[in-house]
Amino acid sequence: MDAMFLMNNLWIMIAFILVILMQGGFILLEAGSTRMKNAGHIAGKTIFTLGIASLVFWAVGYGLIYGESAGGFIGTSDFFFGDYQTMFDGVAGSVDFIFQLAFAAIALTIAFGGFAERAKLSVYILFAVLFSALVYPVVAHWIWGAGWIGELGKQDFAGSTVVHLTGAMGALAATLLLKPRIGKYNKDGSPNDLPGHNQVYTALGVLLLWVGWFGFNAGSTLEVDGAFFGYVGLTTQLGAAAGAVAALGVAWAVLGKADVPTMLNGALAGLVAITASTAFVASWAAVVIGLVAGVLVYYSMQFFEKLGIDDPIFALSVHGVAGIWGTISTGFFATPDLAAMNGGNAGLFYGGGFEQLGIQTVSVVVSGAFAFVASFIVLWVIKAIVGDLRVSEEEEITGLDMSEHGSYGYPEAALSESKEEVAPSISKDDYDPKPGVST
Amino acid sequence: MSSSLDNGEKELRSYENIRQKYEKYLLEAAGDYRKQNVIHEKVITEAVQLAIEHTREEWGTPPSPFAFFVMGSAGRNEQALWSDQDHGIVFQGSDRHEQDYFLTLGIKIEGVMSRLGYPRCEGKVMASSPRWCHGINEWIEQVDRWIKDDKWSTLRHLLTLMDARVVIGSEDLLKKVKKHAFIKGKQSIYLLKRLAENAKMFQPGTNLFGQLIYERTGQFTGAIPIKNAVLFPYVHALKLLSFKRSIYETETIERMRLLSNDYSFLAHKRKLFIDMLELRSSFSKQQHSYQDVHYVPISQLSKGERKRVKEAVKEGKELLHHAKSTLWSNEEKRGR
Repeated sequence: MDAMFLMNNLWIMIAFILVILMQGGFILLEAGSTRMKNAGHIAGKTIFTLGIASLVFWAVGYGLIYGESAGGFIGTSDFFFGDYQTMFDGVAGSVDFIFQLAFAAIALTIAFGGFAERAKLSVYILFAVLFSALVYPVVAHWIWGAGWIGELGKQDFAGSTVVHLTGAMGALAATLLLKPRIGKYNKDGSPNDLPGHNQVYTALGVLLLWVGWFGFNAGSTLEVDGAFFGYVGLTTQLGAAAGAVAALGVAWAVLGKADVPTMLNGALAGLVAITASTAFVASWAAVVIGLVAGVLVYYSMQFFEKLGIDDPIFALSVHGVAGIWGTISTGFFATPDLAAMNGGNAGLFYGGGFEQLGIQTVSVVVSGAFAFVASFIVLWVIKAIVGDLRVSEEEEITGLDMSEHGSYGYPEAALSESKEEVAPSISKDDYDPKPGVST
Repeated sequence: MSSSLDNGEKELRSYENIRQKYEKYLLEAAGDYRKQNVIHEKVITEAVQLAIEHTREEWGTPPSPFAFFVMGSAGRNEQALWSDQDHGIVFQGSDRHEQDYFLTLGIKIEGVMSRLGYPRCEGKVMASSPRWCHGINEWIEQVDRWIKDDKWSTLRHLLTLMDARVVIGSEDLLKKVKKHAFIKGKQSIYLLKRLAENAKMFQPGTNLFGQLIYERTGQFTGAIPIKNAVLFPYVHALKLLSFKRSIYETETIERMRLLSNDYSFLAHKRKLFIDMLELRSSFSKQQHSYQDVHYVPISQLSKGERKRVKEAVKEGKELLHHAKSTLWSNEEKRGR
């Protein structure tokens, strides 16, 4: 067997494992950012929806994305994938399949960020099936399959739009339909802080995602020839680093405190933003893209909160806004050499004019709009089936660990206190978030 | 049984009436923090006298002369519409013989004041707590112990005591305790340094761009924490300087007046501080709880007021910095 072929396949297999491991990052990130009464549920649902996403991707997802294209809009073949002979883009079809599967599962997990702490388990299950079959594959086909946006020369190397924006639009549709969590907003509309129960989990989640991102981005080279994956790794690292630094800096400058959750979101925003542009931009531009993402994520978090949109895991800001910025950024920063290597044209700052910028902007608007509308319809249909998307007020206060699964993620903590104490000291009518400060 | 219940209800109603009466006066004095403090003083005095009467009825006359003092914002005469309890007792005599009596009085005072709308101090800085109710000698011993222990919490107690002001009883008793602490301060630059470390400004008032920092979440969304971010730097700075210079006066503005000759950087600060107290007081009608008085809604401040608050924050920060750096210097007039 050809050594290069073997190494390509081994590399993509490793990349697949890294991307699957990102689910562990999401478990820690989401559980740490929410309250302990929902921790077991969050961890558990991430694993079983990974199962659902995998089955759906095998049955229809892959075929809808990479099957024979019907007018550039959807794939129509290769359903129930089981091919061990076909070679595709220098890798075995099966290797390519599982690598792509991991991406589809990530998009779904991002969307679930908008469901956190209040959606019924049945809604998670139905949405996992429908989103994986009807929403993600369409956008992925348009851009990565033989779809119409890909044909325009759109640059989205590892999925700022395909994975992150699509997931974020699912989260937006969900959080709008589900409405804010109990206690998030006061009667006068002012927001309350509902801090996550474990900042260390959140930080470890971010670190795990950061590491996994090297599979996500560098693995998207799909080959080891020329070792271009090293350059992708470099820009990825710079984007994440700049995002963390910028977010911490802006929080410190504006709020007067070095806010840890904002900094962590900045690192993720840097990663999301560089995902599209990682193979197209110079290293200095990766730093700029990360810095802008870090600043954007801070203001975006404030913006959604002011708007009355409860975004528990900040999926809209981290994956949505940073995903949009990352996609558009290549329209400014793509270098002629890297564009020639990886597709599309040079960006505005390299004499490419507005062409690539236009393609990036249009594609992000169209893809985002489709993902939002489709997710909204899917959720509306689910609502018609299950009655209500949201658990009852009592169940939400008790926690989804108990209401949806019958056991707590932290049973000792739950048993040592009364039921009232396990539930938050917040109700719709009576909320006193700050104890008095004494001189 | 029924009669005692009736009496209890009547008693409660009478407290409510007193609070309502004074609350009306307090609100009428909105914007005039001095007048509000005079009213608070009357309420507290009445409450303590009532508690003394109750104790006398049950336990007889006080076994020795004593002084009831207030601390915190009451001690500094800087109370807003609502204020929590910070008080203590010092008596002539010893803990062994008389503390039980005065602790009982402290419990009564705590109860009466609570009914009159003064929330109990979460840190238990109240005459009902053995730490804040001692005979003169035990008070002095406790001050020595606080200094010897040299912990963040014990030095915090010492700083709290520096704002003590007698409301009822002999001022001499409290003066003796404070004098002892002042002497200790004169003997130890280390103590001054430790006290300075204790008086840290926890909340910045303005951000890097010079904008006022306001609450982003919670019931005070859009409000600036005027107590912690604006007033506290002045309060802490003057508390430290007064300790060094053995000033018994507790009001921040009076401390400024008395020290203005020694510390040139105090110039102009007094007016700013008074301005901020008056600004907070002007929001009295919107303040419905003890938490409310610590915040001022930024949207309701005029452009001019915002500018003044920013200036007060800036000057306060400088003041605290100067005060700390001057604390262990013998050349206070340097930099005039």
